[in-house]
Amino acid sequence: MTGVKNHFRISRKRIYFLFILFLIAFSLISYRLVSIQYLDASKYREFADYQHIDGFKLDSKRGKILDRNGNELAISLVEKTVYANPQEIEDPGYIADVISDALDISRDELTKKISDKSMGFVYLKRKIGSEEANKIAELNLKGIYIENECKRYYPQKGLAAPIIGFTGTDGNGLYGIELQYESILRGVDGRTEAEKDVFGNIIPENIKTYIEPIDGKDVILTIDSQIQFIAERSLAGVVEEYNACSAIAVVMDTVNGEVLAMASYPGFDANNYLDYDAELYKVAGTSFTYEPGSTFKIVNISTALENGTVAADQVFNLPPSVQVSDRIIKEIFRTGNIQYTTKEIIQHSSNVGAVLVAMGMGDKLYWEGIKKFGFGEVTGIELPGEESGIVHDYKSWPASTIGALAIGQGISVTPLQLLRAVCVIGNDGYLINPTIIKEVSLGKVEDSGSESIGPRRIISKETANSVKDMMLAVVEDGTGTRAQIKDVKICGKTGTAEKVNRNGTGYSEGRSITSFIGFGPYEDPRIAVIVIVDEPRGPDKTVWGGTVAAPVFKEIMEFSLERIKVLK
Amino acid sequence: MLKGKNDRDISLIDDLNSSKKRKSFRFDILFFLAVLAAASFGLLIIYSATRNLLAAEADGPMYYLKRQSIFLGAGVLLFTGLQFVNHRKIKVFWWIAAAVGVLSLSAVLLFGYEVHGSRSWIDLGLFSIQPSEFAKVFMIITLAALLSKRKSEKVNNISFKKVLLSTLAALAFILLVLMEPDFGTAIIFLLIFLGMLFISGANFFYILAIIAAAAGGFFAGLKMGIIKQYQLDRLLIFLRPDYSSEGAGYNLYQSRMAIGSGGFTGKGLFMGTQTNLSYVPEHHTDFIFSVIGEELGFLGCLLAVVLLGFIIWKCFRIAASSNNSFGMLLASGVGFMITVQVVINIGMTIGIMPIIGIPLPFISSGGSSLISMLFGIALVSNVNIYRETRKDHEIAYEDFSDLL
Repeated sequence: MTGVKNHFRISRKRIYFLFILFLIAFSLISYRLVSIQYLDASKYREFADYQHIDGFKLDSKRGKILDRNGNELAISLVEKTVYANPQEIEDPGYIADVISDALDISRDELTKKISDKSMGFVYLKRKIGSEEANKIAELNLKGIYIENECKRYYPQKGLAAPIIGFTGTDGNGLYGIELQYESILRGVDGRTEAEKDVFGNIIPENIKTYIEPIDGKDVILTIDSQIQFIAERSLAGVVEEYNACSAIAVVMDTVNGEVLAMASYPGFDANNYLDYDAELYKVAGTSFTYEPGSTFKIVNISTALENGTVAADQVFNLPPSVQVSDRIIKEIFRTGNIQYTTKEIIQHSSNVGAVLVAMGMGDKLYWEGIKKFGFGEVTGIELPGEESGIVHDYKSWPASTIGALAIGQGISVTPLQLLRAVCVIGNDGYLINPTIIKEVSLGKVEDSGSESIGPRRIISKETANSVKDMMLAVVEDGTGTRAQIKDVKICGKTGTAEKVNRNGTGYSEGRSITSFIGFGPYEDPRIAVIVIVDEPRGPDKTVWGGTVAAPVFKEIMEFSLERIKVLK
Repeated sequence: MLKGKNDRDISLIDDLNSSKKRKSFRFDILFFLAVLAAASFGLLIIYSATRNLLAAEADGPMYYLKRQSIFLGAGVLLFTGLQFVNHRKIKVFWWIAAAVGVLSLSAVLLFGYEVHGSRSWIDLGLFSIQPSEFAKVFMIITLAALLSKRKSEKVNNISFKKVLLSTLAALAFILLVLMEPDFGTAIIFLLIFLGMLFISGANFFYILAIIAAAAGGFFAGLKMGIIKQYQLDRLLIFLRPDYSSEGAGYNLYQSRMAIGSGGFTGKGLFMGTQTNLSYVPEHHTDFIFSVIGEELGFLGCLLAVVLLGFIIWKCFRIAASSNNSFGMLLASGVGFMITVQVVINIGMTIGIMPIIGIPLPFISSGGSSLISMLFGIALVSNVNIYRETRKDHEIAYEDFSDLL
């Protein structure tokens, strides 16, 4: 059949032509596959990993902040929160049935909550116990989620709040010890990488990496909650009584510089810190700067004695006022001349006497003494935001400055600086380094910057002891008699400083900072306390360091002396 | 030999007689095994792609695997049944195929339900079918019958009358599919028609005219808003190398990333992440090639392409070795259908073809596709069994030498 041969020839040609077209397509496909699966494979692999592998932070547990006796001041609570995504829930009735018991929510209420498909997120219950949470987790229900919420909690509420500080919403320390010891408290967050599908669901079987979090260390403070409490209560009392702006107290161990309490009023509750003025977050004991007034005479007399420009029993003939360059410095109560020894100048807080003593040693020696006592620089205590105060260089002093400085004006100090300076007197002439950290558990104390030099002698024992005697006289029979404690000899000094006008031009009558500073017992000083009451208001000529601050000092000192007997 | 007035009847009897005379068992076991291998490969990939699917959870990870296995069984039964009926008998009843095809496509417009915006599925209770999948084969039977020549016809070109009739028949199928609307499948129908017209020996003028008409229709549809902009975007996205992962480029971006990330040897069976974590949409149906690419790498892709290429080669070989016009058109029509779907489906997953929602023959999950493919393969095998005696290699040699 010759016809047959030619009959389909054209069709056959075309069939093979189509097949050759297919082979070309086949080659193109192969070429393309080599290109994306061989040449560019690593690029696509990277893209793919980026898309389907997700990293998650595993929160480390934040360390506690404890007082010196192990009382918890700041702790982290892990709260389990149960929430639902109603859009993912297929059978609300069934889910409500199985979890209503564990959540302790009625079945009907629960069904209603998880049936609302317009919602993608509904809280079912917060702060649920971990046992109940585990029960729900084991059911592995679609659309029901359990999350750990780490919450910082301050069980003592406002106690020592500025010292402890607080953490922000992301758990970072923002103020106080929480900020200062952030890295130690925080620990090291862990990390896990897992696969997730296109809807964002994690595939639990496909966890790629898992790095265990390292929990934060506990920080133990030198603070004694009891003394802190009494100090805060006393401050609250005096602020109420005298309608004052604020009050500050610091209690320190004279020997080793451990701060036993650092209180201020008004305070705030760190659990609800947003409800309070941000000014209150500051640690007043280290950041409040003021003109110390008469309490600074201790530094003046000590320096003069140490330099030998004055003797303890030297007699001064004191007029009621003295002119220093363009400024006249007056006594407060006295109108006639009087003869005082150096001791009596302190005992009765004579302004004119103090000025004569200071002028006797001159600018340079006095300035050097002030610097030796540690003014003008931070103490290095482990708290953020410490102020250094202001001490101008003597070379730039106008002629009247020495007169002002003699009675504690023209200088700004922090309460802690002044307390440290006074401790020198109680401590045989040694300057100590204040500290607020007792211990950081299982870890080294990472000191932020301050060079840890030990106590250093800055005045002789003789000088220290003779000033100590003067301070004893202040309390025994001077301006500070209200600080007396039965059966205990207390050394102290009053201070009443008029506040600088708000516009900075001179001092304003009536607005003053009253203070009392001292230590005890006289024989073997253990505790030093400073009390500052800012702008107490009362009948004219009744508002003094000796009347307002001294009783508060007494209250705190008396308690602290009892307390220190049992403290480690 | 009998001679009668009716040429067609005589040739039919003639053909039947000659088929009885065949000396050897012509069932091409290799061809059938290749098809079974492709389908089994598909089962494995489907299992890998679906064992984690959320929808599978209620029915267990084997849900899709079991379904597809049942469909494969049904397809093999259909295949076996069709081996015992000479395809030339089917030619006589071509109009039944045409009617079933057209009616089923009409029925889906009336009783079907929508998936992804196309009314292309009919729910039969136990399972759903996609009539357009079967209709492809019915159209191939129809066109093969309308375009085939009697032995007495000596002319190489086919008549205008045949072109017209076949065009009308194809148009009926294409328009019905367009009304679903399933734009992608309609393109497949059109390509099959053009391929068969080409193979039948039609003058290039006719073919070009039909292409021009189709292009005109396409632009008219675009202008009138029948074809939506997003459909055009999907079609042309592969031409823009800077396509983003958003919108029209999403599927392509994801499937290419999945295939590329598989590398040369793949991430291992069941270890695909992009596909199994549902980043690639439709990854057990239209985009199943991306699962192969991701899990089995270049080697797996090559295996799939070579296997499918072998099946296509067999179809064309059987078509070319057939000495009757209907059988030749039937087998080459089926072969061309597989070719078009394989090239477009794989091509779209790697960004060298437009994104058209069609399954990968034998491999994609879905009963309608698998059974209709086996239906087509059964016809090709049938053409092989019932062809006239002529040695395969002679024809092959003859035609290749002509071509070259």
